Amino acid sequence: MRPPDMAVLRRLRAPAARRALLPLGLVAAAVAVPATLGETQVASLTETVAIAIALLSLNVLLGYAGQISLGHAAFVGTGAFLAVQLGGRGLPLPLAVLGAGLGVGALTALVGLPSLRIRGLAVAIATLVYGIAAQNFLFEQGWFTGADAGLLISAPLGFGAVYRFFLVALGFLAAVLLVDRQLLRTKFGRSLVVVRDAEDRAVAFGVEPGPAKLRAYALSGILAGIAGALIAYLTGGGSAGDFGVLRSLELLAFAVVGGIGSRGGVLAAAVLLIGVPRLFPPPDARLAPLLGGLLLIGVILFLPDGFGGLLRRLRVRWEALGTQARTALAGVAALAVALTVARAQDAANDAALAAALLSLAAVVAGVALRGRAPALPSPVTAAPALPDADAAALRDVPRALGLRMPTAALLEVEAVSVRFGGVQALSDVSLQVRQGEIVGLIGANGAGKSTLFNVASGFVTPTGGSLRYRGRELLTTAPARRTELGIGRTFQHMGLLRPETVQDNVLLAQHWLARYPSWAGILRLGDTTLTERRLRQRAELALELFGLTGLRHEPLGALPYGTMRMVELASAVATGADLLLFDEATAGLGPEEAHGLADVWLRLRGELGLTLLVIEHHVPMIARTCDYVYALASGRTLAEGRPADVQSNPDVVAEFLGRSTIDAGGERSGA
Amino acid sequence: MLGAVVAALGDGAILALVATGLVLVFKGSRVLNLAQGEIGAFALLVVYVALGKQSAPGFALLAGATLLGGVLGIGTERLIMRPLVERPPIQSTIASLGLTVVLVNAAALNGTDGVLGFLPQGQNSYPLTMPPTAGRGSVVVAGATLVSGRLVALVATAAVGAALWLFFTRTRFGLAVLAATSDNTVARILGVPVRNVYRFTWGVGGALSGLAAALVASLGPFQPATMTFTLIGALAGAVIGGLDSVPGAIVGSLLVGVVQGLIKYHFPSVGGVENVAVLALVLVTLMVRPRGLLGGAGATA
Repeated sequence: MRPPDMAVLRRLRAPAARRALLPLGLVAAAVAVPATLGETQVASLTETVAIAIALLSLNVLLGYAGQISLGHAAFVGTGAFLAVQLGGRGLPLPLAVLGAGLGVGALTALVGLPSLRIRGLAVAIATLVYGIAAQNFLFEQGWFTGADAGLLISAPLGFGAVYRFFLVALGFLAAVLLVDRQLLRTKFGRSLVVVRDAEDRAVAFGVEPGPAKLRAYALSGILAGIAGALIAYLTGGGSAGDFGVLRSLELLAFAVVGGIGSRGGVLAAAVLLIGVPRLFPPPDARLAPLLGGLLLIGVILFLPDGFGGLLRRLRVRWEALGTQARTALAGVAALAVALTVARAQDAANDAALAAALLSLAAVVAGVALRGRAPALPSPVTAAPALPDADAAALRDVPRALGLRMPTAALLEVEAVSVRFGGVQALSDVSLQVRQGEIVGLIGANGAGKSTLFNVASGFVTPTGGSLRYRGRELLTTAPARRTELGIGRTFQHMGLLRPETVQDNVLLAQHWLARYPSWAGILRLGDTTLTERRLRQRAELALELFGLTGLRHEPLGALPYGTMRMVELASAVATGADLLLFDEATAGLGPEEAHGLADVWLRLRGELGLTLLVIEHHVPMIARTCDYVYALASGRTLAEGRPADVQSNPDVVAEFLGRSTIDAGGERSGA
Repeated sequence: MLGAVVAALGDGAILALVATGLVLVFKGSRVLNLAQGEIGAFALLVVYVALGKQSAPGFALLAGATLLGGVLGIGTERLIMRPLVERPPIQSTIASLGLTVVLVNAAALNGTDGVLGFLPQGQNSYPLTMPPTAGRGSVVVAGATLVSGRLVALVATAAVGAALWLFFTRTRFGLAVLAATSDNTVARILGVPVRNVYRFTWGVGGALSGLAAALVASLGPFQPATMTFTLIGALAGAVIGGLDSVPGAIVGSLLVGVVQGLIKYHFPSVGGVENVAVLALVLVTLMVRPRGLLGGAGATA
């Protein structure tokens, strides 16, 4: 691929470098404020940090991969005891923590193995059963907990040790947050999201659902292990009761209250539900969990997005306020914070107090500056022809020479038959798509058009016949691999993710073009950053082609239906396919929009040199664009030829307009 | 050995009662009811207090817990689950988790200085030992003593299984429930009162939970979280048998009970090892036969 074009990328960059002030202020406050607190309080905050990591770990599974863990405390506990095993034998702290993480990562991948074959709650129950087995058996075994060998660990002692260990934990949290952020910006996270929301569609983008889920289990386990190891160092070990089934359920509850999939919400939940009750214990300790349960039910009923959703809504309100209002409110907040902190301190350590106040001031200033000029999304624009260089950039994908050479027949379907139980969906259908053609596939509902598409993209295995792409047999090629060969498709029902933005949808369509390994991606190793920049540029070009650039940051679900359809086409083009299969691209479009779509098809062929196979009911569209048409009826080829010939074929006319009498075939379907 | 198997079948039968309730609710609304254990436990504790604690007649505890469990199940459906019907099922599952936390901790607010006073006079911490809720008797089977709690559990499970089978195959409302649980949109269009079906599944689930709690209490000391551990065994049984199949839930739970019993019988000194065996059983089932032994296509949804 070509190096990224900076001019294209600059169009993407959000303004406001001052947005960095808030995150920096928060980091400074997290470091400086605890320095003014007593040792017990700092220890409580360290525990909060560890549990925040555990919640982020749960969030990877629950929020990004859509998998439920009902035994997460047991994974955390396993990490704690692994840390005792490693640290107790003299391994330095960072290595012991990472080792515990890797160990638990292997374990969660093992427990998550059934997710390769099944979806849903059954795997969650497997994690629950691990939880109970760990609590009642594994964590009671001396050889596992290190009690037999008399292993002990503790954070390094000495003056200020509690605070120093807090900083260590905070460092791990920062690293985890960075990984979490990078996760969603690279193909690892995108593959999880598409598998979560549209598992069968994921395959069409070249994502293999099983490995994606296992990776999520492993990553979640690594983070859980790190959290457990930190708890072990904090408490000098751990006991089975700390990591029981009830704690697992509690963690899940906190993650949901925080807001599934929301990093900020999860952190807020850790601070508000763990940190605050530890710092300011309630009068009756038994009331806390009861209130927690009620809070959980209340949040589910009235705040389905949890704290994260609340934060988002508040932020939108806040950013809509004028600068003066924001500054005034932030000033009041600053005063209140300063007074509270000053009163709470005995001012024993003036320097620490000053640093704490300064960092809090930065947070307040960051919040005050957090405004945004209201930017309305620009509508779909008429797209000018793509310059040749940009078209070349879109077409430039790492594909073997043999898959780029001109060839006569791109797709050859030969005598393909498909049988679903007692229904013969396709019988002996043959079809040929030559390079550079637009080929139409028409037929009534149930004629087998979509089945034929599903055979071509590998979702349906035919009972007979053969299927060749560029002369090579396709039937033995896994569905996800066909994307790499150059076959892209859209679905009759939208194959995209409505909650994600337009840009993210196009990015996830390019999954196979991100050649870096998923793990390298979240650690920013190798050419991750460069590749991601290229992918963003390609996404931008694909959007430009369809006049969608002004909508790149809009959630797909907020757009009109016709525009969503355009985004779907842009995504299919972004896969770098040579052959595109469009399944009823005009479904749900008005006549104007359908007409515009015909232009787009012709441009895809003219400017990008693509070959199209389209299922279409819209006859004028077929007549205008197609070089060749196949008409299917009841799973058989009824007619084929140039559009005009097929249109006037008496069988086709009879099939589409109905027969005057029911013939021996007994069917009478209208188009 | 045979005696151990029979006793273990009795324990499995208790799991089967809980699992049957789980599966009914799951089939009805795709909600995994994590409060399926605690609804019954709480009902039992309330009935225990209402009937005069240690002077409560055992059979009345059993009947009362079943009845109140049903009422609590219906109340849960009305107050918590119905507002969530249009949301993804995971949210209802999490809400049921919240209910578990509330019920466990409400029951834990006890003791002589406590608010609710679930504990007998002169005792201020769990576990408590109830009057024998399923009678005092025992029979000797193949050299092993089968206490009445396990016996009642076996009989009750057989009765519940038979009753549900008759209900689903012989009654109009039973057919409506089946229709609603296989495709509730179509059922609604055909005029099946889907809302009544939900209420019914939650009610039966709650009643079975109450019955199971009373039987658990007849076998040993009882505390609020006890039923959550029973629930985990039942969940394992339901997954092994197939999450959407009542016969599967019963068979799977009996299997879990027998495996646990045999492992405990052969390794009496290693505490908790039976849970590892159940974990292995669940993982192997999910790998080899993801739908469970008798589950249909809905089991993996």
